[in-house]
Amino acid sequence: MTRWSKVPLVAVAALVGLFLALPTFVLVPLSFTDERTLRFPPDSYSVRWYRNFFESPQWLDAAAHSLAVGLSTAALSTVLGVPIAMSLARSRHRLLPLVNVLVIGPALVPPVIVAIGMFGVLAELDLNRSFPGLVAAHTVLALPVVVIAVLASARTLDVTVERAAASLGASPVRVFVHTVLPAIAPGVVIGALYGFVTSWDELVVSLFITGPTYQTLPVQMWNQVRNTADPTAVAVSTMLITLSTIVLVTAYLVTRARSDRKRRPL
Amino acid sequence: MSASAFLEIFDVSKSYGTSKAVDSVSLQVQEGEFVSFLGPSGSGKTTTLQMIAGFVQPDAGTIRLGNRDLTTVPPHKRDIGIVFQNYALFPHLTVAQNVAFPLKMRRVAASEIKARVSRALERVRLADFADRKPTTLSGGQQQRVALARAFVFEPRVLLMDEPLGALDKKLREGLQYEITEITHSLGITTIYVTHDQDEALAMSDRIAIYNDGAIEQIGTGRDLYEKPASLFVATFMGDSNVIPGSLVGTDGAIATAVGQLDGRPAPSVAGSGDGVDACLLVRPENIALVAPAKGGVGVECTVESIVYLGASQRVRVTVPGLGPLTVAQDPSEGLADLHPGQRVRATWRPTDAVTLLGSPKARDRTPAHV
Ligand SMILES: Nc1ncnc2c1ncn2[C@@H]1O[C@H](COP(=O)(O)OP(=O)(O)OP(=O)(O)O)[C@@H](O)[C@H]1O
Ligand SMILES: [Mg+2]
Repeated sequence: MTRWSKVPLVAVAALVGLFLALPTFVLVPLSFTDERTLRFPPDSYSVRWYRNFFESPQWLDAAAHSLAVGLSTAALSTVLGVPIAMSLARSRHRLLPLVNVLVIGPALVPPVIVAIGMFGVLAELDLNRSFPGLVAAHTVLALPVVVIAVLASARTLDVTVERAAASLGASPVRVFVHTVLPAIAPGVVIGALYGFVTSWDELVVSLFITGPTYQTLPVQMWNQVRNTADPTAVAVSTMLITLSTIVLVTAYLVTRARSDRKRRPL
Repeated sequence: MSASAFLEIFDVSKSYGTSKAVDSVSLQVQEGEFVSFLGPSGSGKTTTLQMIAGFVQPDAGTIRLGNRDLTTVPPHKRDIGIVFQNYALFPHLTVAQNVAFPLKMRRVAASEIKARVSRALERVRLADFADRKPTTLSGGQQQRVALARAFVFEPRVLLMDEPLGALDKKLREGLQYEITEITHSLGITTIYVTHDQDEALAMSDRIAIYNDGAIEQIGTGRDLYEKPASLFVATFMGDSNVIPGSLVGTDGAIATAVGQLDGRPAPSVAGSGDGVDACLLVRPENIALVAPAKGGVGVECTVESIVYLGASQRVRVTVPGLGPLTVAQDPSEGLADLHPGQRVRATWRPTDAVTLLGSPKARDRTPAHV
């Protein structure tokens, strides 16, 4: 491509980027407003809405719930997702395509459908509005993400390397620790991060199965914005964007470390 | 022999679905011996090796190593080193860490690991590469790391599955020498799989010729070449002329389109009767071309073409009613002024011809070396 033919491409990319980032440019200053209403640009600045968040038991509870559910979802979906991805990459059992469809399925179904289904199942088990119920529901959503991330690195794994390790005296557990784990570790880290993020900002399913007694951060924000539109929600959004950025940058750094290792200078 | 055999494979079979990958293979290897598996693709060489290593469970048969039954022992407890065609190094470990791996698994003291790893790396001339990652090395260097990793823990048997298959010819020849030099000086019992006949001949004490999941014959390269037990082995090893016919008696004589010819009977001929399909195998270098008037065992023929190859020349002759024969001869010897169209007589010593059961047409699958 010549230098000039790149101009339209760069222009379009810049416009799209700007469009995507614009809400952030509005949101961040707005979160520091000193006023009770959301008006841009604010007349005066303060951190009162941040203070409001940290002084409100309702907000803090919601954040604590989200954190607990997010971490549990990340852990559970990783523990389930790694063996599933390994067998999808390895085994040639004829039922595996079915497993594949079952695991990846929730990622392709509209969230509302998953939400209604989940609500029904959890009601039957009397788990709605509870921590285990929410973790179960979020794990169903996070599992495909984890499996896909781990699968990507598991597919590059070479069976002969495992066989070599075994012949050199490594027991099956040590074969896994010394050859499989290092190879899939970046995939597992990324999978766990995305698993956490999936749960952390999940709204639709959570709306169905949470209630006034047990709320997550996105549900609390949704309710606040609909009822009072007070700027606390904007302050929370700003903090969430910061957190997501940290998570994504970490994921990027992990991916880059991995591709660096794969490059083969001769 | 069986009492003193170090590695013993007895009647081992393995099927995948309905096809037999390995069909009742038996083999005895002495301590310190270098045995090659040579044979066409899909003949069961790798499957046999994987059963010795413990990665594939035989359907039937036993494998014994130093008088211990290995059949149910898991791979990591067999004390068998293995080198694969694709190196199979640990990409996240350095060269030295790769070589240290089997010693770590055996909980060898750190100071001893260090000494043994550097000695092993010196042996494969890679002492300067100890701290490099394997992916930064060339193919030949990576395979030398894999070799060091496989012998550093002094395994009881070393298995190699086409270890030089991915390397170019020049590199292969150097490494062939390096490998046998190491296995012989360390006295490691070795089984080596290869597609390459010259490689097997250059490296092995004995060669097992595989065909269709079974060992057709096992012996020294010379045995296989001079005393092939079957038509398959005869045509697989080196170049050969095969004259078809049928048995006359059991002393090795066969009736052919150009009359009766004598040969040394292969062992299997003894049990067969008159009229059974058989053929005479004569190596190109054992045929001499003489004037037609001269006598001796042989056939009348016409010179077709002469290809000069420096140290030798290949003469193609046609025998009426029989087809072509290839003759390899010293250009300075034999008939002077040999030219296409000339009528000559192809002769050989009866002891240089081998009578084998079977007919070449039923053996279309064998590589044509003529
Ligand atoms: N895991 C497997 N599943 C099904 N069939 C197999 C498997 N492994 C080997 N086979 C079959 O068993 C037969 C023997 O294979 P094997 O790999 O032992 O041959 P080989 O002599 O090593 O061939 P090559 O020289 O091509 O490596 C082949 O027909 C092969 O297709
Ligand atoms: Mg093979």
